[in-house]
Amino acid sequence: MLTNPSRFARGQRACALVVALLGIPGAATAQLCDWGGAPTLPVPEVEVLASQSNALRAPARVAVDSEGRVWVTDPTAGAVALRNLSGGVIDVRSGLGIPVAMAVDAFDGIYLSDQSTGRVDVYDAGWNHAGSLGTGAGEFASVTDIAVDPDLGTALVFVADSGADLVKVYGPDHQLVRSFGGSGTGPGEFDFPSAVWVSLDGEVFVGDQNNDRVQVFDRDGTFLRCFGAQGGGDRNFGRIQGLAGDTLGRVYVADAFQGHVKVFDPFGAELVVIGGLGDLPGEFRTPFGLVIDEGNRLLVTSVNSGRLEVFGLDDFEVIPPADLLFGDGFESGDVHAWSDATP
Amino acid sequence: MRGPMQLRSFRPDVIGTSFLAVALLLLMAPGAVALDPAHDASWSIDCSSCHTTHNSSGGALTTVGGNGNLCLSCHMVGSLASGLPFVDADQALPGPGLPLGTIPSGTSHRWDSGPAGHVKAEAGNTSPGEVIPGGVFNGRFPKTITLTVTASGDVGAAVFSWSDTIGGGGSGLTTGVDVPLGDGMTASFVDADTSPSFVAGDGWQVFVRTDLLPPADPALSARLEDGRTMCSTCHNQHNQSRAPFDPSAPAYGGSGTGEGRHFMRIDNDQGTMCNDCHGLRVVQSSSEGSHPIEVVVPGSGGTQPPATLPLDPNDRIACMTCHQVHDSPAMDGSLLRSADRTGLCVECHTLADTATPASHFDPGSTGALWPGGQYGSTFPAITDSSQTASCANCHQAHGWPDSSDPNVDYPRLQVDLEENLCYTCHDGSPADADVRTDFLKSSAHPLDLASEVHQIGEPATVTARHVECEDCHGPHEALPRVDLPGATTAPRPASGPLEGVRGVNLAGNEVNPASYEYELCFRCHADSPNLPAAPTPRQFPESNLRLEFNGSLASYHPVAMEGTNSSVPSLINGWDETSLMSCTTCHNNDDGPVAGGSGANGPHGSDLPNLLERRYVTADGTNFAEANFAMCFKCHSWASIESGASFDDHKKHISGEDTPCNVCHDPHASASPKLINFDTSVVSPSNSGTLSYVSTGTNSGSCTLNCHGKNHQNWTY
Repeated sequence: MLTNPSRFARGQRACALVVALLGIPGAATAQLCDWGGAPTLPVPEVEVLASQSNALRAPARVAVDSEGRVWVTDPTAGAVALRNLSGGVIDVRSGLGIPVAMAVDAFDGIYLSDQSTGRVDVYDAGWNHAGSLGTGAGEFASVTDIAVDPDLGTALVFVADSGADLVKVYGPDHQLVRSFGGSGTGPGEFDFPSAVWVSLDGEVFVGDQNNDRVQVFDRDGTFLRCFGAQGGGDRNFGRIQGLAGDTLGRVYVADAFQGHVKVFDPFGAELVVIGGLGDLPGEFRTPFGLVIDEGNRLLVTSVNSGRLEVFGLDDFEVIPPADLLFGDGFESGDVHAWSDATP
Repeated sequence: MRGPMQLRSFRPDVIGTSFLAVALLLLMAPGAVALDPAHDASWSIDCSSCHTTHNSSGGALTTVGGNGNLCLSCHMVGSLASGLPFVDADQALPGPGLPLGTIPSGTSHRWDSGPAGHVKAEAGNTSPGEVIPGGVFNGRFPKTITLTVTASGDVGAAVFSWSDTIGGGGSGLTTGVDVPLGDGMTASFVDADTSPSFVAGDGWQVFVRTDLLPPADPALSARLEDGRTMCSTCHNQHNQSRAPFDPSAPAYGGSGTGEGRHFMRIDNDQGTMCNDCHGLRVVQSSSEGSHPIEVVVPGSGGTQPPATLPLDPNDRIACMTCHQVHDSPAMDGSLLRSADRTGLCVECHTLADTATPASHFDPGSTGALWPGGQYGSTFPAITDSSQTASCANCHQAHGWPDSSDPNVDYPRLQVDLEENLCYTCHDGSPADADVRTDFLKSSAHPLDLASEVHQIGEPATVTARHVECEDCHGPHEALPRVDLPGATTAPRPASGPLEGVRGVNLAGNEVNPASYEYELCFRCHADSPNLPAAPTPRQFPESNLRLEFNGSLASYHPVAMEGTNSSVPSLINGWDETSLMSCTTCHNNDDGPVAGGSGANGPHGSDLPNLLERRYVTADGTNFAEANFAMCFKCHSWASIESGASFDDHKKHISGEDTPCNVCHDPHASASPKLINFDTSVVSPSNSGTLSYVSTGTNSGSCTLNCHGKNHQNWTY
């Protein structure tokens, strides 16, 4: 069993938080986040497109490459799968330890975490190993998400090291540029930062799971604002596990406990709730990772139903017939033989 | 949309009450609702991590979509309890009883099942309604029930049919509450907000398993979801005080201690919690249809205390001696502590020697996979090749119902009655040898006269004559067949398929294991009572083979020791006067490889009388043909005999008078030399009242008898 020593070191802080909520003098004051005012962006129209279960055991993170192909990590299977949009499995890379977080950059370079070694490996588009972030093994306590800055000029990579309560930022040379966060409940502090996404505007959204809030930073890690609520009244976030956004800047938050995806404007005004807990197409059991592709399709992994749920947003592009897709043209439902092409 | 205004709109009295409740919970005396590690601040967990004071989506202020969902939202890779992850696909889906093509899977006890099984909607369903299985399954065979909507509608209007994997079913049934499905099972249909709740063509599978009861302990029974277990049924997520079945677990030292004690809901160090639902399997003898538990493993008689498997505090076996509730290394839903089933069994059962494995335990050569019952048993085929050669092919630890009376299980936790169990493989497929065909022959060891009579450890000298496969073959010791040369200089060993069987030696004493093949035969063909009459009435009658072959008589075929006749000029094919033979030199399959056939070796059956390998005519007056005595001519040359090399009138008697060998010679032994032991139905005393043969030297002798109407008075040769 993997352990996370840093969790023990943080114990007293959570007690302090509860004490604070009870209003006992002397306790630290939790950051109160603004839920945002009137929505600044339109509510997305959402349509369920597909519910794909083939060859997925317990999918976690999902990413898309420049060709629109879909990468899905499957940590308990120790594998990542490359799929086409209709669910056909193009390739599987197995024997990868515990691959959780994954991101693909504009050049189809791949960033993949391995929880069993505490590293993030970098691969080129041909799955050639191209190094590791930082010092390699042991660089991270527990990576749960990776985001690539859409600004090709910065080419920064943001890594949510939830075990260390940090977001670590890496440059094109794979070396650490800066980190921000730290354990706590105050502005800019984290308690299990489980998800990270960088908007086109360069704002860094971090899902601060145990503080039940989304915090927003600039690229330098300067705290800008936050939204969400913790404890007490209506629990707006059950368990933030994934973050993504669309080109308009709307923020999609996967709530692993509530079993849905909530959509906000960048300031926290809630726009719509997608899905719900269940087994029908478009429903989730522990939604985890999510991404929006260039066809304006929202792809969400559902860990405990072992599925990839696909939604169309607004003027989305329909999923082409399987025989027009790249890859081997497998229909959804077919299961590709899992290769053992360990890099 | 929710915003600050909504938060402020909550009723102040409710907020106040709830905050007070939380405060009280936190300030109460330790142990009441204490949070023990690791569900405490050491992992950044507090009440609010799981509880919501207002507008909770479910019961106990926690649940959305079931208790499991709450637990899994942390206990998954990439979430807070990343080091102890569970996913739905981990839940056990053990065979048998699964739909065709469904592979047994799972490493964890289910957290969504119970005596009414668990339900899974089929992929592609669009029905928003819910199906909830109910009742207590009391069937004897595990199975999967498939419910299919045949007419769309809401509850009361929608119609469904069902079928199961063992041939049951029903159709034209109206959806409703507690609709009977047989075997104590029901199905309830729950409408959704949208209509129709149930869409034609949609299906649900209900997986039910045997020997389950609802828990009786109130701490457990109070925590069920639609009668099904959940994480919190077995685990008290707040408290570590209860004792787990884990010898390495730390002691509980009061509130705030006990990490690693598995948060048990009630004590389970002696298996109490397991037994509450699985009580029908709490037996102390396998004769009750399940592997015994709550017993100390004897250190003798084929068992030994386990070296690594955990026992309860009283050194007794419990469910969790063999089973691992979560993270089982076996991937097939059996939740065993080892993927190596045989390795697990041999911790206690010394019968299965895996260091020098018997055929049945050797996955590399002769081990087989159970191909599915064919001669009575319904136990389905095992298709997981990793189970090749495992104990589970013949034994199921929790028994399998006898198809002729499903109220009882097959004995010894077998999956079929012997000999049907053996026949299932040894009928030509998957084992090459088809011994079943041999046992159907006109002369065969009569397996069909006895069923389940043989007992492990029964006396070597059989007191009630019977024969079953295990009387001659130890299924846990037998090795592959070894082809031995016909002529040997030592008795044929009880090796190969006879490895490990007990026998009776020449002195009449039990030997365990037998050293020689004949010792095995002596179990039933020597000192045991009720021996059958010899097929030929003899001058010197003797049915006890041990007394015939132990060297006490004047002559005998050399089975146990060298023969007494130093001049046997007819011997051929490598045989000479010093050679030894075996019982199976003559008593063997007439279609076996030694006889030039394609059948199995061994004295299982023959279409020739007296289970002989070759023709051996005994009826006097049968027209002579060499083929009629092929048994004799396997080792003895007709040319030599015909030439009179040993007895100058041999030809005259055999081919001249059509007198079979058997009239003068006893093929086993005789008080006279040279195996002369007259068939008294043909040969009678001489006119002087004497019946005798006297050897007067090498290749010479004298007969006094009456035969074919001719008086022989000291006729010499």
